[in-house]
Amino acid sequence: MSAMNPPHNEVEDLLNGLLDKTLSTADETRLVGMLAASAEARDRYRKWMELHAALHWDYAGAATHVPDSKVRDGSALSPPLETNSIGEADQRAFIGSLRLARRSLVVGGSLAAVGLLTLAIGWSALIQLRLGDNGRAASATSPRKMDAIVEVASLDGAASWSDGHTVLSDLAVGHKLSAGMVSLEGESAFLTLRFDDGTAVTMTGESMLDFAARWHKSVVLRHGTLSVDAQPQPPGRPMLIRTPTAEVEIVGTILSVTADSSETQLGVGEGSVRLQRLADGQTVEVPEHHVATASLVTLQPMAATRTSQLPSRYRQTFDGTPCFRCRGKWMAADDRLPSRARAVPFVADRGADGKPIVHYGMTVRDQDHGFVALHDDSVVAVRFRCATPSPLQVMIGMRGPGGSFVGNFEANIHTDNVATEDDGGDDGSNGWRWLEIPTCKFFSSCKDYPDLTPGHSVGMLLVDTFSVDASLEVAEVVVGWQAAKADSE
Amino acid sequence: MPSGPDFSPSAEFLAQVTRAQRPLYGFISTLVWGHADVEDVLQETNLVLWRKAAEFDTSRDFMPWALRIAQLQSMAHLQKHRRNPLFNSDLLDRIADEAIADRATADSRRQALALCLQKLPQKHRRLVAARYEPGASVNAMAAALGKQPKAVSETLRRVRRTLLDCIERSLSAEAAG
Repeated sequence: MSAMNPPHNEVEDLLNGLLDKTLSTADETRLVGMLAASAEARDRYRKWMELHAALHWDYAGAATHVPDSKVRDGSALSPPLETNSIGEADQRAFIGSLRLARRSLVVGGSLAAVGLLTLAIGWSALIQLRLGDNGRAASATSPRKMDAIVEVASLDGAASWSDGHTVLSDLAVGHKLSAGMVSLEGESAFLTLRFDDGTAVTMTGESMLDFAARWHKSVVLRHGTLSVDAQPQPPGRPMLIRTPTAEVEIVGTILSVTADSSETQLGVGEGSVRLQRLADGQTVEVPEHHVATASLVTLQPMAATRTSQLPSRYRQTFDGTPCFRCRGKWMAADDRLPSRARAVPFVADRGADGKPIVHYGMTVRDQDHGFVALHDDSVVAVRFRCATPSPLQVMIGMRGPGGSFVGNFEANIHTDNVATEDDGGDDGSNGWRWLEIPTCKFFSSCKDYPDLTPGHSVGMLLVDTFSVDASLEVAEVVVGWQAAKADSE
Repeated sequence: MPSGPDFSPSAEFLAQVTRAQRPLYGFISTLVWGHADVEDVLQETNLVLWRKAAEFDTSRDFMPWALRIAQLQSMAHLQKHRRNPLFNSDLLDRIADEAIADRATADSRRQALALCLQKLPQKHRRLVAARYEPGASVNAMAAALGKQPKAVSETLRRVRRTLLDCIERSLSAEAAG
């Protein structure tokens, strides 16, 4: 190497100090000088920084949980000197004391607006990457039982788990999982993870969740919606939920959390929860039947507000601004056609071969903790049209106290079985049909949530044509009393 | 932000963006110091990628385009927050250029790391896990262990060196095989 190249150990010491933030300003200046002067130093710098990034991104979880059986005899690596090595017992002691830290959502604000599809495709791509990375065992065929801390208690939709090293792409009820990240796919999907003490965490819709239970239970909700039914936690060891903008401290309660990169909404059904806004550290106690929001904006003091009485009627005609969590292509009215939402593809599930099962539909979501209360005689009505006859599914995602998830319920019909409106146009009709479904006609999508309970609220309404792209368009959705259409006109 | 209410992205583009997340994170890490800052820049990069989705020529290679956007976002972030003041733009450009030129090797190194990590003794894997736990720091680790931060950092240096050597051996063996 040229005379310009600095001593190997000096560069390495400085790089290591940079990674561990132990460098003085003088050291930093020296390092920068070396980097400016030597291509070899820059090459080494890049490798150290990329290693650091890869460990941050991928391997921290795996490092804790890779079983020794995976290490081939005689191939184990040891650093050359052990004089300052840290004892295993010491490590166990302090691993438990670490708290979750700030973590931003890597898919940002506007991506979050389309994040549902992004995450579905993204996770799929990530799995493909994993398969490509190792070319073999990355798609694990059996769940991880070592250090298992949660069990999959219920699942509808496609879910994957990864500890940063291994990917299990076909999660099923009964699987026991060690610390890692779970990704849930499917607009109407849900997944319940149960900890040993009975605490249940339910993800709904497209969601990503990191979880661990070293010293206390900790969950990082990267994106999506989460319901928690927490058992009383040990004194001094509350369960923590972290989102990009907030931290929720739970002693024992029922609650729901919805998060994206810029905002976290919390609803409490039972008990009391402390919500901390990460942007300025401000906290607020959120008692039962209250909601609170933490965002990146810190102008307003944090406050908990009592959950408002939900209306018994809801109407969406797609002529306003698209709601943030709705899915579909919003189309403006013209001379002939009303405002409407066109169905878009979404991942509904995964087949046995891991390929995504794509459905075509549109989703209405409004208030995260439910937007309309359901009663015995409520009706779900949809004004829609399709280019081709197709089976049609209408699904409602139900929310209980505090916005907690209490099941999906669906009704299936065929579009041909719904009469076309006569709208007086030249061709007699633009193909619009009006469908009314009494709530008693909805059936549960999952045995774990068998009953549609009056008084609970609708948090999600999905209309889709399964795997058929029938160019479904929806011009109006009403949830309310009988004779909804007449009332709406 | 996509214009108008139409928020149906190209699935191919989204897959490209998603697939690029890890390489982008690694690349940004060479320009911006600090995990939280890197994640912020990655987020800003994603936003720009999204805004420019319509401009992207699908016949071109996605990664160089995405890396250049990440480079610009990194520079903007450093200027805005006055971080890494010792780094001048010329040096950052050189580091970025070399990282982009070396991106195929960087992918191979990331893949090799998975196997190398498995070969570490369990106590060192735990050490790595503890160091890269969200929010962890060498100072906190040292305080919990009753040791000096320098001592903890020195142990980590040896583990990192071991991993880097293992990665180089893996790549050499792969090239030879």
